[in-house]
Amino acid sequence: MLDVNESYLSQLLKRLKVSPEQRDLLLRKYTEELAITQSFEDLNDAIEESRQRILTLKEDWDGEGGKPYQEETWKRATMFIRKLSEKLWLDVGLRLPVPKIRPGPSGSIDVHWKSQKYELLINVPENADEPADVYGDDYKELVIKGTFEIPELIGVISEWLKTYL
Amino acid sequence: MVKDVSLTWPIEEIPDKDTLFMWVNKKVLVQLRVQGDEIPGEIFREHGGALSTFWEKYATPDEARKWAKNPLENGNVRQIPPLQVEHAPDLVRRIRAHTNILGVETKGRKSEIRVKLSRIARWNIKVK
Repeated sequence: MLDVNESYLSQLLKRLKVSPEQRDLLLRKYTEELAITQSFEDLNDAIEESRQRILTLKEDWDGEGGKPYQEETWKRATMFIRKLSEKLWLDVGLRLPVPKIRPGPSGSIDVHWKSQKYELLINVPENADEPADVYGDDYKELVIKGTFEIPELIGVISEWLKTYL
Repeated sequence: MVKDVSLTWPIEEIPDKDTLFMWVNKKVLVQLRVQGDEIPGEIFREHGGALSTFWEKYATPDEARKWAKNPLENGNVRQIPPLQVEHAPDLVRRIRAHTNILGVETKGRKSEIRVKLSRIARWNIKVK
């Protein structure tokens, strides 16, 4: 647990004569933000690892004529993950589990979450004009599926994930 | 003396109860960072417009070991719309068992189909 009582912010709040209650509230918020920074580190590490792994794939990387991946596609996929993560945290204080970021078919990128409660696969196509292809369920009847533009998808997926996080 | 080898094979109807074997390149599993017994939907990819599998009727155990690692129940595949299973003997490579699964990368259904395929597949030969 991080101790922020001796932090610069704490000292500043004392000098500004902020009430102890208000100071505690602000420090608690500060602590939470530090914690989310640590959580984003996991996500950042996974994203960086996927960059190294996916963008270095060469022609026929899969032994079946697989094509290399474009940086633009990877950026769209990982930007979606970052924005989704930020939205979940800012809206409701939930942390997005780190997904598997994988080379998909025909130059697309797959973003995949799988847990005991739910499975969600999002395919970000190579062609930026095409929508993302989505399927998720709770292994029962609660299903999300279809095609979505990325900005719309962030809202849709964050709502759906709130049920499980 | 010339050995009598049939140049063509008839296209047959594959019963739902039969198993199809699917070959997965180890390179793909490495790149997908597959762990343990996981069968990720991401392994189901079309090549040349179809997902290639091998029908157990014409795949001996030795051939199955050579060609295929990942079996699918044919009937279950047909229950995932719009997938179609078509016997398509490979005359060039002389593989009578060759069978196409069509529709894996159908637009708007790509993620759903691959998740559902991953749930009906099981490893037959463990990857080393």
